[in-house]
Amino acid sequence: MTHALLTVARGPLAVLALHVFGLSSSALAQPACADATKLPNPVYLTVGDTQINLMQRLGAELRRHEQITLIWRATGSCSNLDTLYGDLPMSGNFSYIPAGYDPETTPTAPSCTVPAPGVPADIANSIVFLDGCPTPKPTDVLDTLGPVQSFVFAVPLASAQTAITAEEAYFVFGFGQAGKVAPWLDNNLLLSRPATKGTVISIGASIGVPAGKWQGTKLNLSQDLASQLAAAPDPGKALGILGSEVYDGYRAQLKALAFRAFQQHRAYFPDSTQNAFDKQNVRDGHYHIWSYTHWLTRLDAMGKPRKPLAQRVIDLLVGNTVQPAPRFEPLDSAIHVGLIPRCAMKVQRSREGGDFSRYQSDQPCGCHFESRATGSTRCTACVDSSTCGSGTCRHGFCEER
Amino acid sequence: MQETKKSLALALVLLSGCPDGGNPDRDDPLRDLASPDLACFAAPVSHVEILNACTTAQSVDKRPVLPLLSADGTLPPLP
Repeated sequence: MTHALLTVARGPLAVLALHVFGLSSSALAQPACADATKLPNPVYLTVGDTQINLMQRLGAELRRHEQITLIWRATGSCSNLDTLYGDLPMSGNFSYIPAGYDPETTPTAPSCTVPAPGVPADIANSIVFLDGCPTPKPTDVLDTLGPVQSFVFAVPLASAQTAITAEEAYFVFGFGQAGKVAPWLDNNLLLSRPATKGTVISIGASIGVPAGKWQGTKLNLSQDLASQLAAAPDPGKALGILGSEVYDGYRAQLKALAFRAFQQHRAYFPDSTQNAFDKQNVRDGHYHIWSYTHWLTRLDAMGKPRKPLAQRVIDLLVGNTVQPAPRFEPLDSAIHVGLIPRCAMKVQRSREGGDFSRYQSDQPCGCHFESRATGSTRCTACVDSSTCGSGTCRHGFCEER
Repeated sequence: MQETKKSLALALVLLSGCPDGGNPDRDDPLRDLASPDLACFAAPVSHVEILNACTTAQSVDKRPVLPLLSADGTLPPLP
């Protein structure tokens, strides 16, 4: 009946018809997340909103090749951890990956509904080190380090600014307009995030401003921050913070500032140039503001993942070897959305905003990363290691080991 | 010895303050690749050396004047 109405009455007429018949559009469009036919092999996640692009990209591959359905809600890192640590049931609207989903043609995944009392999270995500959040990790929760995420200070394209130093950022976001750092002198145009969000925790660690001390206008969603920043009434005075992969989607409207860390001579972009996508400076330690994504799941009494399917998703996401081997390249999902697999990193750190030391993965993937992130690489293509000298053929390129 | 020279060069850079005579927010244009960081480290090991390793990446030389910065160059406590 309702479908028939919508067939003949689209747009405002359809809305009117729905009201007349006492139906909401969400009730029509949203299946139950528990619908095993539409949503087979569900894995429930609670993730940072900077990870939505990854959920959609990896989720499409998992649905296509393994009939696994990612179902997620997006909120702050500390809230995600509390949900998993406390086994708190989640209910309400979730995003999910339907059959045939293509993130290129459908940038926003559809929603499904979980009625109260809800379901436990199979996977929780934090985009900062776990000790950046107040609740300690229970012993029956497994934390797996995932791809690296960088963060940026961003301004509207019309802004004349090209860089910000750690000292400037300390005064701007630690004192607000009282910090007297021109041109960032209007608290309404200093856009930040609530204290539970990984973005402020991570950037705060690089500039010495704890998450609870940030000044400026707090916005709950990264996408809202990006939109408001792009539309700032006085672009020269506006400044915001974003995950790099969110920023990458707004490069036509925003520009990232180069960042000079404490004890650093010059300011650098996450990428080798302002317009590149290679994350060179994150990978080699010239860009300070980044953290590891963390992917956590609950263990059973035997110390095994309570939901093995969830652990498989985590293993694929972070690039671990899994059996059976996937029929797609799982690293590519992370690379495509602007994250950096750990195997492509040349530096490491052990706490939020902490010092760098040199790093080399046991199975480096820098060549593969470059080829996927930028479309080209100076590495030698290969089919096996016989043509790689002392190196190893991995993902189609000669890696150094 | 070479590291000492680099440290001295870095100290001079930091102590030189605002060499353009008072422009409060000197923000150089994006550096082209022909203008290397002379105090960079060719074989970085420590954190500071990694941050300042020699690179061909684009960079910005920014030396802002910060009114609230303490006279000794330290940051005051947050409000």
